[in-house]
Amino acid sequence: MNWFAPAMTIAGKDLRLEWKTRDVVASVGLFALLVVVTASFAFPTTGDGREGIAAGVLWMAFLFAALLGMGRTMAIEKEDGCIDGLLTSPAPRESIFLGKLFANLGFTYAVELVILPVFIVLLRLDPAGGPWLLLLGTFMGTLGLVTVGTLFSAMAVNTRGREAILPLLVMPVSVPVMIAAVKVSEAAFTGEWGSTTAWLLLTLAYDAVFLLVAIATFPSLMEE
Amino acid sequence: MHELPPLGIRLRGVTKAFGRQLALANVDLDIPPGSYVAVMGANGAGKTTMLKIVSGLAAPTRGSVTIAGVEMKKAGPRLRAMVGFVSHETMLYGDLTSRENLLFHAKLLGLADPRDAVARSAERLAVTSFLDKPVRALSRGMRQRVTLARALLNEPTVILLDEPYTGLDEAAAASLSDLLDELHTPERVVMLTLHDVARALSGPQRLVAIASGRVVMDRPLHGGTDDIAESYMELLREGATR
Repeated sequence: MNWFAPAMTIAGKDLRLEWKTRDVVASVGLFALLVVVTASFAFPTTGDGREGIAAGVLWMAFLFAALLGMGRTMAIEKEDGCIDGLLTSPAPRESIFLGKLFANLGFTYAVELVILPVFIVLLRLDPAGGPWLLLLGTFMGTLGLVTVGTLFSAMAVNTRGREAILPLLVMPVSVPVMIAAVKVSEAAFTGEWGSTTAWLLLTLAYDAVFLLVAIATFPSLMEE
Repeated sequence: MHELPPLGIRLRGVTKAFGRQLALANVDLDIPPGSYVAVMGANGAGKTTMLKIVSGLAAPTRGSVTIAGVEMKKAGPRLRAMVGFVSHETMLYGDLTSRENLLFHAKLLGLADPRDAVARSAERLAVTSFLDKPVRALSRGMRQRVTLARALLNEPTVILLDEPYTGLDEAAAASLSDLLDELHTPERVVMLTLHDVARALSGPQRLVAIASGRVVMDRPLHGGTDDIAESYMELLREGATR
């Protein structure tokens, strides 16, 4: 059996669950929206350097929102022993990870696509570097965050204070991709290319390395 | 030592430790095809741990478990598909309907026609009438039947059930006993954990009793079962006073 088909089955199941309950998208979306609305009052909407601040605030909102969603999607598997159903199925453990990753990526990126225009309007930003750069940077940064977050949420799901432990595990490891994603978003808002290529390459390398590490370590994490 | 036929289960020196706590200690067991085995013991004796290790859900700290001659640690998708596991948890998503849950697992099993497999399994377990209800809305007995329908989707050759009678009323328990009798074929291994001696004596053909992680009794169950019940109760009393 290949990895892709069961991974898509698992992601499809998460999507169906979400369609019925709207648990993740509603809580994550509302949280991210609250952060950007608050930021629009707290930070200047004019003046030099505001694009850098805006990009930082944007990614802070994305990070916390992603953490909220990832903790929830893994907790669903813990209820009624559903994770045991996955682990005793013929699906390779790697595809269980990929399935959860696809679902988390889908939920998080969908929320980000809704939040981005609201953020741009509220903070009076102009994606002068091109919307494609903003969307690409957001996707690549989110992939890195979600890869690390999915792995750590599997680790944290059996712990008592998983809501507190997940951010503690994810934040230090996600610093490089956060910095790179902020820089790419800043470039998208200012239109100044500068060293954006290097930041994009750093994001790409981070995504690739952590994807490989996560796929390699997830099966042993799932062993009792 | 006799060679097991292809689909038998073999445990050799299986030890499972959680920190300093030994859940299973050096367990050796041969379960040939066609076996219908009841694993009994007090709470915390190691029954669930044994089933989890056989299902591949947990790895032994020492020792090995082989099914069909293949170590569970190295089990590929085909071998894992041969094992149907019913835990005391439902393994069902409460917000999905029974049909959606069964279809999901049928797809994970890689079945050629998942819808047909779901329809057949649902009919066998008499769950067709509530296939489109969310699992959360079902009674414990109904959920147990859906759980069994999930485990039997691909007609596995090894069926492991962890305390399947828990929470069932008499009628549901009787129909579960009938189903287990029906599942017991010469090619298949049915292995379940139980608390109730009377149940162990009314269907299974072999009783394995565990105390403190060790196999303390392993006897066939045919005829003259009174002494077995008495011996088992004696073992439990000894364990309780230790």
